[in-house]
Amino acid sequence: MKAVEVKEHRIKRYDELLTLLGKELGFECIWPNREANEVVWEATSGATCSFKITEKHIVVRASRPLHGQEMASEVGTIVHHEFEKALWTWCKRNPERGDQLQKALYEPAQDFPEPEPPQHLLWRVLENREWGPEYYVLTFGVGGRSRIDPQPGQFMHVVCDPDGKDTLTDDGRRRGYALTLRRPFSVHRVHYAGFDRRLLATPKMLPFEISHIIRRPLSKMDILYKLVGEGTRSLSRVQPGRLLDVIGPLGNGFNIERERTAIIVAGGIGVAPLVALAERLRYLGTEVYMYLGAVTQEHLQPILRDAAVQRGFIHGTEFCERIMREFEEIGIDVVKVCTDDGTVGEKGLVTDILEGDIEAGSIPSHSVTMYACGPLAMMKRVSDVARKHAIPCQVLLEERMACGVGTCFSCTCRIRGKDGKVEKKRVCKDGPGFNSEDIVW
Amino acid sequence: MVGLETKISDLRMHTPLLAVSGIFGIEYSKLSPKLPGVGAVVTKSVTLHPRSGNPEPRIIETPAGLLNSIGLQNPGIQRFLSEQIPELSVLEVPIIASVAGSSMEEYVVCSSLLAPRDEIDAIELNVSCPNVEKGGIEFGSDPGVLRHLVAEVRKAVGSKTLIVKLTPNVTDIALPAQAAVDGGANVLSLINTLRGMVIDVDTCRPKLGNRFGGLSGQGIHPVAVYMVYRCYTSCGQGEKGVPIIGIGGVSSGEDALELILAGATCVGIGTAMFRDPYDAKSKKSVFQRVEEYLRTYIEKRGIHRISDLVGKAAEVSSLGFE
Repeated sequence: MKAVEVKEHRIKRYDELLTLLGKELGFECIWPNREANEVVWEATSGATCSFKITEKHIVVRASRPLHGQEMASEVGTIVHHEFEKALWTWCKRNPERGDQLQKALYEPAQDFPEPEPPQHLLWRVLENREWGPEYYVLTFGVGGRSRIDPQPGQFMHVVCDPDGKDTLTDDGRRRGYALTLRRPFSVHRVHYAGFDRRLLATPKMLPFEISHIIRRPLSKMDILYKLVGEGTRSLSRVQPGRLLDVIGPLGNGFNIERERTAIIVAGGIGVAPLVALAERLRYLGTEVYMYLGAVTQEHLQPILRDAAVQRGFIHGTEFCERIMREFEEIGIDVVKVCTDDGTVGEKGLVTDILEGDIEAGSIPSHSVTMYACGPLAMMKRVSDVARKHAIPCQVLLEERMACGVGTCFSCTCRIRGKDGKVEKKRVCKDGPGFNSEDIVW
Repeated sequence: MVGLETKISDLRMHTPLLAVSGIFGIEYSKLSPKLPGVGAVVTKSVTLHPRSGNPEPRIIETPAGLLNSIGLQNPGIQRFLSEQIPELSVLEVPIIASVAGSSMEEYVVCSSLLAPRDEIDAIELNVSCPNVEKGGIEFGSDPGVLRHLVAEVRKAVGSKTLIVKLTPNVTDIALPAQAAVDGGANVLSLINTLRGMVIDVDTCRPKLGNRFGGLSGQGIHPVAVYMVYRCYTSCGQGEKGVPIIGIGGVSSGEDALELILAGATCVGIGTAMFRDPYDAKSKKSVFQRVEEYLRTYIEKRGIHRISDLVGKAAEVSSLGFE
């Protein structure tokens, strides 16, 4: 295979990982051969171990002298994304050391830059289309030099009537009336310049290249919204090409743990922030189980953004398959679609089906984190299910917002603090992501 | 004073614009550290004891406005003194501390704790609060009670600049205005929010958790203009005249100028900040917009300083009625 060009600092990172690995197992590196992507290690006992990085795997060859002469060798291969999770089998044969390795490799996420402070921005609308009944997806084009990295669960605070702004013109004369408040929209999808999300499925490239890509600038951002009032109606009339005044990214999003497994539960429009979450979890190599619930098929259409779907040419089982393929593309194999009326997927409440699967053992309930977003009653139900099975669970709350940055105290909710006392916390600043156990429902 | 420079009591500001209580917070200055166009800031009303505020929902947008019932959520005077004052003192403009209370004693205690602090340039009394001892009537709506309250606070704060923020929910604002002046106020600020309510026709219930709230925003501007005019003509003019901070529905330069012409020395901006908070980078904040308008206005007309325009609309009342 041809040598892969990688940035110096990423090679260094990978080397660091291997060095740790080797040291834990009692080897010292003697010969790194970058061109062949192979590193050879030696132990004082005379045993040697080589790591060879190929497109799909790391091939580990360990040999030790036997009876002074013969070399007994073991060959193991580790798939790249498993290596990142330190789940490779060779380590497991020495469970103690294996655990140490896991700790060493699991440093706090260095791959993602610290979120930039919220900024006041003008973003261009690239697309603003209706994909479901009163469900719209608006795509913003972000300036090329943007250094923002929105975290899943954060939101943008948007002025929905740009023409209203024109009535409050810069020359200071007043001509009319504008919407008093901005509207908050959670980040639905982010696009990085030059990055194909299908790479999230199984890394076809080396792991350090994937994390290198994440450092690329944000090129586009999608928000998914439903028409519920004056603001959203105004926003739906904004034509592509217009500039919109946005502040963000704001809020404390989901606190993403490096669990091996995550269960994501979406209810209706609550799916909006969870798609960004699913993609981010896949960057981290987490195994994701996705539960999509909606009242009826139409409410799930915006996820596919397909004209044929929107016009009803694709529905029922075929629709279900399309949704599953959409998520398979990024490496999520289990996607359960549930509708209240059974028009697509399983019939029933997503929370009932989730509970059924946990109790039947068809999805794991240990070393798992649950994330949910949807109507309040649905999130409460998910939180009950999570509590019953001792699964840590985070939800994304929503409340009417004015300032969006934490000064006005309009968007409060009741949260139980560490000392057990109930406090009023701000959804815009202390949340929107909260541990479901802390919420006073 | 030249151009937009303003002096009110002993506060010196580079523009006549203030960021009003309940809207401005230190988080905004993180978006834009320099606060262009802002002459002074007023803090969120602080009370003696911490308050957790009203049940949600606390706000609802109205046509050309906003109805709010936050309920004065604040960490209490002790934490204000120890945590929030140091945070605010990095701002380079005068800081006015707003005080609220449900009894006279609470106002007096809080004010006496704030007066000695050098970081605080003035104290504003938020008298739109229900007087628990008198059945919940706002302090600011009973002139006798108000005069007594202001007098007691005056004793406690010595010579510190004392501002009284009047409630518009009265029959004639000139009466509480005069009462505040008699009690010893240096400055009057008006108006606070108008009492209002929104009902949800689907649930048949009020939309706010507290049922009713205070109306602010573009829609109330004409009420503010009238009330500033009324106060200016009754106790703002002449040698014993007390300067006025005009607040209410300002979102453009014209709105601000109207209040000045009606008799306001300074103008407060609140609700409009939600849409156009501070930022000097990509677009102008409401403060910058208003500041530029005022500057252009006086330059074009050869007016030396903005204070020359204060109360100009009240000058020629040749028809002889107020």
